[in-house]
Amino acid sequence: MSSFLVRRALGLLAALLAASVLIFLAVEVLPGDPARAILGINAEPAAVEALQRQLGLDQPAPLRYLRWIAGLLQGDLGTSWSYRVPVAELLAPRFAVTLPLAVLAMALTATASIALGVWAALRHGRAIDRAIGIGTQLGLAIPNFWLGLLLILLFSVELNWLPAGGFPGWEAGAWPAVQSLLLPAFALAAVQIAILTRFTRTAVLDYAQQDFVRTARAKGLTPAAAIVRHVLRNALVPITSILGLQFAFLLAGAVIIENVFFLPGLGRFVFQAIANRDLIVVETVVLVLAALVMVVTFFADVAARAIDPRLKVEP
Amino acid sequence: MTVLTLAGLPPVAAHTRTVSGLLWVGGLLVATLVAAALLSLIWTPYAPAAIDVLSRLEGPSAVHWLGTDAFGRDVLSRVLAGARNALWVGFASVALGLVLGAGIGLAAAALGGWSEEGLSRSADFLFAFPAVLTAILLAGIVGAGMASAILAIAIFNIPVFARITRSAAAVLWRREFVRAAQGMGKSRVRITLDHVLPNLSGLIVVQASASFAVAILAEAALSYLGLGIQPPDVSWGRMLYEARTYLATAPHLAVFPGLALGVLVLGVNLLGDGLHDRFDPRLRPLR
Repeated sequence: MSSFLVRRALGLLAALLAASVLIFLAVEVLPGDPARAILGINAEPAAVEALQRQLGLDQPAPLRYLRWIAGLLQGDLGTSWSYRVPVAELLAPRFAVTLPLAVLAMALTATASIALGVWAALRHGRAIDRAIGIGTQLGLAIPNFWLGLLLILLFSVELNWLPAGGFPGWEAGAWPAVQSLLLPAFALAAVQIAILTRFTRTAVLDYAQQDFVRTARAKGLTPAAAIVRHVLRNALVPITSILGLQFAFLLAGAVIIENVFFLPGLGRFVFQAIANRDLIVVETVVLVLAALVMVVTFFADVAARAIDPRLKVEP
Repeated sequence: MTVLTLAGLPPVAAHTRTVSGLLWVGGLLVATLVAAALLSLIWTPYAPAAIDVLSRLEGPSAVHWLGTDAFGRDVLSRVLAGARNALWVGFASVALGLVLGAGIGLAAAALGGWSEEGLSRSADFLFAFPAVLTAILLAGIVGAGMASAILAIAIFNIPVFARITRSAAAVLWRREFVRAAQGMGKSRVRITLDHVLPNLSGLIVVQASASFAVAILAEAALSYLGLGIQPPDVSWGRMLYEARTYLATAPHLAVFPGLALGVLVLGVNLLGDGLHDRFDPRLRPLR
C-alpha cells in the first residue's frame, strides 16, 4: 500500500506540474493585450507600456512562469490585474460557493444513484426497472442548464418555494444559503445521477450472478444481507472510482450552472476573468480547479483500494 | 469519461426485440430533427432573424405556432434553423476529433514502445482535465464563434477516440491474423488499414454516436455562455440564454429550444445504444 501511495503521489505531482505548464502556455497565446484591456481602447501608449512593466509582461515567458510557480509554492497566488487585490482574497468567498455546490451535487449523486441503481437491479425487468431506465435516458438527454431553467420555472416562478437565483452569502445563515444551492445542485447532479444509476444497476446485476453470492444465500443469508455484504461491497469499488471522475464533471458543470443561477462562484469568476483578460486569475483558478479534480481522483483511487483488498496485490 | 462509461454499459433493456426498438425510436427522433434542419434550408415559416417589434414575447398561437421572442422573432423558425447549426457543429467536431484521435490511437498501437507510452499518457492527462474548462479556455483563445466551438469540442474529442482505438488496436496487434500479416512482410501502415481499422469500425461508430450527443450538448452549453455560435446565426443554447431574462413573463421561450435539444440528444443516445448492441453481441444475452 505504501509503495502504491508513493507512486500515485509522484504521479499526481507530475500531472500537476504538466497541468501548470499547459495552462500557462494556453493563457500565453490568448489574444489581446491585458494592459490595453485594463486601461481601455483610448489609453495613452506610454501608460500601456508602464502598466505592462508593472505587471511584468515585458519579461520573457519562462521567467514569468517560474515566478508564478515559485509564488504558488509559497502560498502567494499573485495579485489580480483588474481588481488590484490578491487573488487569494478573491478566491476564498467564491470557493465558499462552488465547493459546497459541488459537494452537495456529489452527495445527491451518490445517494440517489446507489439507491436507484440497487432498486432497479433488485426489480430487474419489472415496471420499476423500466421506469428508472426511462428516467436515466431522459437524465442523459436533458442538458443541465436547460434543467436549471425548468427547475426555476417550476420551483421559483410557479410554486415560489426556492429562490430563482443569486446567493445570499453564508453570513445570512446556513439555511438560506443551502436553499439557494439546492436547485443548482440538483440541475448539476441530474446527468451524473443518470450515469451512475445505470452503472450501479449493471454492477449489482453482474455481482449478483456470481458464485460467491449463491454460496452466501445457500449459507442462509437473506437476500438483503447478501446484497449489502457481498454484492454492494464489491460493486462499491468501481462506483467509487466513477464518483471520483464525476467530481471533475460536477466542477466543470458548475461553470455553466453558476451562470444560469447567477451564483458568485469560481465558474462565474473565471468566466469574467477571461473577458477581462485578467490572466493571472484565469491561470490560478483553472489550475486550482484542475488540482482539485486530480486530488479527488487520487483519493478515489486510494479509497477503492481500501474497500477492495484484492487491489493491494502488486501486479 | 461520460462517453466511455456510457459506451461500456449494456443497454437499459437488452432483449433482442427491444434492441431494434431502440434503433427505430432513436432513428426516428434523429431523422425528424435532420428533416427539420434540411427543411430550414429551403423554408421556414418566417425568416429566423426577422424582427417584428409589434408582436414581442407572444405565446404560441395560430400565427406563430411556438410564439415569438423578445424581438418578435418567430420561435418555430428559429428552432428549425437551430437544428441545422446543432447538427453541423456536432458532425464537424466529432468528425475532426475522430479522424485525429483515431489516427493517433492507431499510430500509437502500430508503433508500440515509447511512442505508445507517450501518446497514451498524454491522452490520460487530457482526460483528467475538466473538459468544459478546456473548451472555455480554447474558446477564449481562438475567440468565440462557430468555428472555435467546433475546434474546442473536436480537441476534447481527440483523446476520447485516441484512447479507445489505441487500447482496442493494441489487442488486435497481438492476434494471430495480424502476426501472420506481419510475417508475410506487410508494412505497419498496410496492416493498420487492411486488418486493424476494419475490425474497429463498429467500436468507432458506437463511440462516434455517443460523442455526437455530447458534442451537441457542448455546443449548446458554449453558446449559452456566449462562447459558441454568435448572432445572427441561431443556436438553441443561445436561445435558452436569452429566455433566462423572460422566464416569468414568457416561459415558452425556455421550453421549445430545450425540448428540441433534449429530443435530439435522446434520439442520438438511443440510436447509439441500439448500434452498441448490434456491434457488440457479447452484451446481448445479459439478462
